[in-house]
Amino acid sequence: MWFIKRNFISFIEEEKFKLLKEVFKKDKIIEKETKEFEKKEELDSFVKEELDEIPQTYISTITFTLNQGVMDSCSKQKYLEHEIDYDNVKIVCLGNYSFYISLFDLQKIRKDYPYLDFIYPPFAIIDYLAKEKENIFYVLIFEKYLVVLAYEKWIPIFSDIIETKESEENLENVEDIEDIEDIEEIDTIDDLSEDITEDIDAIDEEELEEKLEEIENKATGIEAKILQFIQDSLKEYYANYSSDFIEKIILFDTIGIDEKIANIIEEEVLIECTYKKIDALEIINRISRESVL
Amino acid sequence: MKAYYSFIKPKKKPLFKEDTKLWLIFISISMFLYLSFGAFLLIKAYIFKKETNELKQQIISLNEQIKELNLQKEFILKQETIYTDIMTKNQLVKQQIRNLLDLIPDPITLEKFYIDHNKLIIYGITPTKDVYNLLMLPPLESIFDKTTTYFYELPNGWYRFKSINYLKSENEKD
Repeated sequence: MWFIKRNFISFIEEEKFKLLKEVFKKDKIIEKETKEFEKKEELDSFVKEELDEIPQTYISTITFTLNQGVMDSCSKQKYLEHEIDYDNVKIVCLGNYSFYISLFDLQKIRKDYPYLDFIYPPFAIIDYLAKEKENIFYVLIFEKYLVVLAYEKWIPIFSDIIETKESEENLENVEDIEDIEDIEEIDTIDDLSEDITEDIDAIDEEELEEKLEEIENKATGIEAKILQFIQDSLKEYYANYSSDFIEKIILFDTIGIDEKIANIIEEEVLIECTYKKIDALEIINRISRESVL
Repeated sequence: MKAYYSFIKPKKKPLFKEDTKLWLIFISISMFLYLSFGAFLLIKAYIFKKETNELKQQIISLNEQIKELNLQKEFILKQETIYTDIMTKNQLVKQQIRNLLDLIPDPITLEKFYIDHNKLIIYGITPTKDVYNLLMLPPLESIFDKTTTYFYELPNGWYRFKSINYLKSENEKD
């Protein structure tokens, strides 16, 4: 009905709770608001207020649980072949492929956020946006997670999610190493030469080179992590999923990294790479809105 | 094609808030009452209009009846006038006849008479012309404006007479 307001709220749980609220009247957006919450209680109370205010409020989120993925079929047989317990996963069938999630994880999310109307896999964003679907690698970049979805002949056959938080902890260690190397903080040149000599003696050369390479990679931050993730995923893809070459990598960035990353990846993996900035929350709301209409 | 990616289905959402629902119920009830009252007034107005039209028709037919009755009344009044006139005239005629019969003296025998609007014709038998002229003619002359008498002698010596008497009409008087 034309006078009924529909409120679509999407949020993502990362370091903070990022939320987007869009109120529609018919097809026209009449209110748009973004919010960030430190605590879950703040999110809960905001959602409760919104539900009280506008009854037609739909809450959506995406889950980053690692116990989810994509399957190039909807059949039980296919799941069993991949050693996935068909009875303990929830499946969303999209014709000739499906997304799945562990029932246990899904129940946990529903218990944590009982007001949710839509729970999407992060792959849904890629699948929704993907126009080219032949030997393509899509990488979706979040603050805390990296998601990959690979298409072969219009069907996604490979997916992966990694959490980048662990890497950040390593980065902190890297910073520590940088601090040690800060010359200004070393009292005398003698001490410095002594320290260096001791260090050189203690570390064997190969190990040192590996460490330095690793440090160099980590020091470049999220870009390096993305590159590493793509390289690992490509290895996994070629090893276990398909022998067809990936022709293109498309990056969907939700956090706003430097778009030169596309060039870096291109140089490193020698595959054409394009970059696109997206608003994940807005896309989640759009998917929810299309489901409700 | 719409793709439904969600692992769960959305909950059913009410269209309105609880307090809005209450308001809507109240507004609906009041609207219903207003409309019912409006409909009642319309029906009443329609009935009144119908009755008014009927009454107007009745007034028209009654007026026509009144006109007819007035015509009848006029006719009856005319008849009454005529009747009264006739009665009066009859009374007059009766009186005149009585007077006429009173006029006839004993020696004279009245055979017949004819009374018109302003004319009296008397047929009779008189022993002599003098008896007639002395006893009968003076009262006739005093009553009528013009009196003409014709005598016919009978074999026994008596006279049959015819007396024509006129009263002058109003025009003639003028």
